[in-house]
Amino acid sequence: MKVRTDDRPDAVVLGVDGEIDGLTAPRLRAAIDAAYEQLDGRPLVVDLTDVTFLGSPGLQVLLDSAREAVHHRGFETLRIVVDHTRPVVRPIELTGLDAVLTLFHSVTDALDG
Amino acid sequence: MPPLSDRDRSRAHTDAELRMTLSAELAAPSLARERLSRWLAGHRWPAGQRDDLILAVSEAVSNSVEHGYGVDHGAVVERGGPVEVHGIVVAEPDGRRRAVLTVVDRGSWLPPSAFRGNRRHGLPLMEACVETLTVDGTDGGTTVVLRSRAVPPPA
Repeated sequence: MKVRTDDRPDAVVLGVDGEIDGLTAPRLRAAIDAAYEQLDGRPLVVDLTDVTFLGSPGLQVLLDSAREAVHHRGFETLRIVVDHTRPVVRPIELTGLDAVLTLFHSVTDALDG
Repeated sequence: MPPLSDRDRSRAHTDAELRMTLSAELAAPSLARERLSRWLAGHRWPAGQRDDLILAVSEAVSNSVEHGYGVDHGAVVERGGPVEVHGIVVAEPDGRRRAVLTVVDRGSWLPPSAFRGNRRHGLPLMEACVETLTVDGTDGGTTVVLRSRAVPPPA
């Protein structure tokens, strides 16, 4: 798994690539935590369109990070981008997290809010 | 003799059974996913069902490593042991097929109520991805049997 940070004028966008499982999820968490420090009022977009596997440790990081943004840091919630990649959409839907996380179909949509 | 097509070659190299023994480390689920993916592709398993089985087995192996053997980030592996993954394809009378995948560890078992964090989502994910899930935990370890939904015969 790789995480690329794009520090834009209107948002910080984390582009995640590869597999998010128990081995790699802590690195995603660290990247999100680092991004929180540089937001300065901008939204944080986590782009999962290049993710090829999403297991429960990854789901937990997304859920914890979204909650932390709102409840502990007073930020707006994470904007998470998923396309129709089944290995990513399916676990989110099966666990009901599509009703909890704030999902968009493209980075453009996410930036529009 | 004509050269083998990719399809023939893949079929020729697909074992009837899947059998692997993984050591209890955080990379084990990734290895299991890769091997299972190849095995299911060789059996011409439909893509959607393949994704579900890969997810379910990955979660089961992850449970064995992190839960059964207590391997965690930064932790020294004291109690590490093997995680065995076994898969077979069984045919129904009507020709449809099911995969039966078994994940066995010799670690310690904790009831789902003790599951924290990731574990909260792991079991429901496994259940949703297969037709039947059985989890048999004893003092000697845990055996998870995942029986897939039926898929059509190979085209």
